[in-house]
Amino acid sequence: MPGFRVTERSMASNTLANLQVNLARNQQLQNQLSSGKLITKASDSPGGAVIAMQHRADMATLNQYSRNADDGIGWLNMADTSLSSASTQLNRARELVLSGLSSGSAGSPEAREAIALEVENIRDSMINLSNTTYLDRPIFGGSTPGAIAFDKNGVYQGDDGKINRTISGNATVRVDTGAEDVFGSGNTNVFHLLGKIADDLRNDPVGLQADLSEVDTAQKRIQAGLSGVGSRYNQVSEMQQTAQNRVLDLRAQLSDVEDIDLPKTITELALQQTAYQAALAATAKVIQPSLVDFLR
Amino acid sequence: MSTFSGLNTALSALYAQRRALDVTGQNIANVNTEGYSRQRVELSPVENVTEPARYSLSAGVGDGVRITGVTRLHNEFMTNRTRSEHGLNEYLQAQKTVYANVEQALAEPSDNGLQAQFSDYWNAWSDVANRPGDASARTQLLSRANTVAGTMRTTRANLGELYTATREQLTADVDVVNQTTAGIADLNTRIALAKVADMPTNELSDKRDTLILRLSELTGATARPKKDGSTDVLLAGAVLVQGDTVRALQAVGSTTVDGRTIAPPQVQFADSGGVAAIASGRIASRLEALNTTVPDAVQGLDDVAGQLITSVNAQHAQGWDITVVPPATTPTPVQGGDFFSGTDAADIGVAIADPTKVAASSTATNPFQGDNATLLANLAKDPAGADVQYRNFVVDIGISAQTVNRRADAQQVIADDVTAAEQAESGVSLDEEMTNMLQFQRAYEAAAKVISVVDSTLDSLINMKR
Repeated sequence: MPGFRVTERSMASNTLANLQVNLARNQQLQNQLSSGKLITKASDSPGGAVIAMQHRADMATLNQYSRNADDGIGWLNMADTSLSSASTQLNRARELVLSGLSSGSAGSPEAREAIALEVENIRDSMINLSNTTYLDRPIFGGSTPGAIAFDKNGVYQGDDGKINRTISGNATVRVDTGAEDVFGSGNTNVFHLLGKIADDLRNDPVGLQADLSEVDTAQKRIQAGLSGVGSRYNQVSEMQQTAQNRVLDLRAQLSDVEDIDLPKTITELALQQTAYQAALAATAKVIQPSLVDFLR
Repeated sequence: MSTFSGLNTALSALYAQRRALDVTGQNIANVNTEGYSRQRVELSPVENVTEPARYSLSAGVGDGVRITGVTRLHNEFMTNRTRSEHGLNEYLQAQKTVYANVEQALAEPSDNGLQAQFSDYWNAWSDVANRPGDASARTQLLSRANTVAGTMRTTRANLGELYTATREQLTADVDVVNQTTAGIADLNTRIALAKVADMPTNELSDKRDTLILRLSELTGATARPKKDGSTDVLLAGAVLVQGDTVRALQAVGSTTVDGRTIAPPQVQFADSGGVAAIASGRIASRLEALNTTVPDAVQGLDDVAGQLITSVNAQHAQGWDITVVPPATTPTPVQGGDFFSGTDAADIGVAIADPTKVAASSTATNPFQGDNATLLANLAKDPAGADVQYRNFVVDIGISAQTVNRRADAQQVIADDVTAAEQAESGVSLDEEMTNMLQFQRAYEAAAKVISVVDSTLDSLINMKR
């Protein structure tokens, strides 16, 4: 056993082993410093590695949620703009119906004809609004592959498909707006109503009274659609903010787990290098002298 | 008692001290020779005549010094310990290398490993869900799926190459074992012959011990010295070398990872075909790598690939694609077919080449609805899904690797310690040799002085009468 007897070779092999350990530790620290990572393979820290991989996957998913939300916000923005315009236009139509009513059947047909023309213009412009597209997809057309939601006659061309966006682990939000919910369905839709108003102005001014209440109903539908779009817009943008914050949190945590503590590592490396140099110096000194040097 | 016996006594001292100086010289010459055990001259006094006989005269003083032998100072127990610790150390160091290679093949955790590619792939499904009609989103999905499949195949192939390389190393190691056992048998013969002729065998024994140590490092073999000077080498009780006879070993089994179940790699005795039980040493590590470590990693990867293929294909089959049959310009949806082809990591591929065949919608009536794509993207979070399975797989390997690394580091220290202890016990100390040299030099000088003193007393005696 060592302690009884020490020989040059036992000392040399011990010293070499110690130098090896020293150098291996040096290399490990150098690796950490140059890569900036504490964990480069799973065995460096299995627990840390599972967190690192989990966080990376979560970050990728959350970034995707954020991109989904971006897309959803685009859809909802378009819907908001076009519904606001539609509401303004419908207000103007309501004013026109009122002025048509006040002139009544006593009013001149020419004046009513002028009003009817304006109502028809409003109808065309509202059909245009209903065909607003986002990235070439009609936002009121469901999941239709076609380019328009309503044709020139105000007949629905879309389908009942829903466009959903996944914006968090357990929330999907509908980002399109059901055309029949906001514009009414079939023969009772707003375009049909506007056509009927134009017709009534020309031929049946008495019917305008009934039309007025229907305009109010249509306006209510559009308003309800608008508020729905607004609330969904809020939800999407809040969830997006949450996802982005969570990504920042995860990135910080990942860095905690995976990245080196720079001052600590540099200090350790400096200490390690000092230890290595000391070991080298000791090796050079210890092995050198023997009795041979003192025999003459 | 002869008048001249004093001269003879001193002469025996001159011989003995000179021989002792020779041995010191041999020790110093071999101070750096690996496996050399220091030697010592055994001196013993020549007794005076003690048998009572008519002409036997005794002054009660001995007749000088005699060399009884040159002893090799080595400790058999320590040598045995060195063998077993070195065997275990070689086993663990080799295992450490195997795990390092497996981890290298997986390259996790990183920003561009398979895990990151999985994430990209699932995100591509989300993009398809966002824009089901957009050909670019569908094309991107297919290219990312191809990346995932390609990486799995590459990783699987790398593990397969690791298996084949390890199998080649096994054959090479077994060849070395056979050479070494032949060398041991040869030395056994020479030592037994020399023993019979009463010749010194110290250097031959050192050589044999070096060979046995190499054998222990390869196989964890143990040695059993015998009376005639030969040493038997045993492999878990089975004789490998007995005197001058050797049982050769051979490596058998598949050279590719896929043939491992039909022909598992093992080491056999060439004569009987019986399996050689090798529990330690580098060969044990090779066998474990070939039968457990690498196949487990391959199986783990295959399972992940299998899970990916089944889960994606099952969900994809629930959906409808946007096939357009010319001359029509609107789609005639067809139910989704297999998205991935193959069954494991070796043959996984993307079965779809046409982006319109991606079944993103859950209904035939609304083919531009991306809800099936969303469901596919959600597979990323499935607790039993391929992602989670892959993470567990990587971490399991990490844990095993960490355990082996720790054991290997601890064993390295132990192996270094026993080596140092053995070298301390049997190695040459220059200080000691120098001291011995002085001692023998002085003794030689003193013996020479005795001769000159006896010579001068005889001179006085002879010249007394003048």
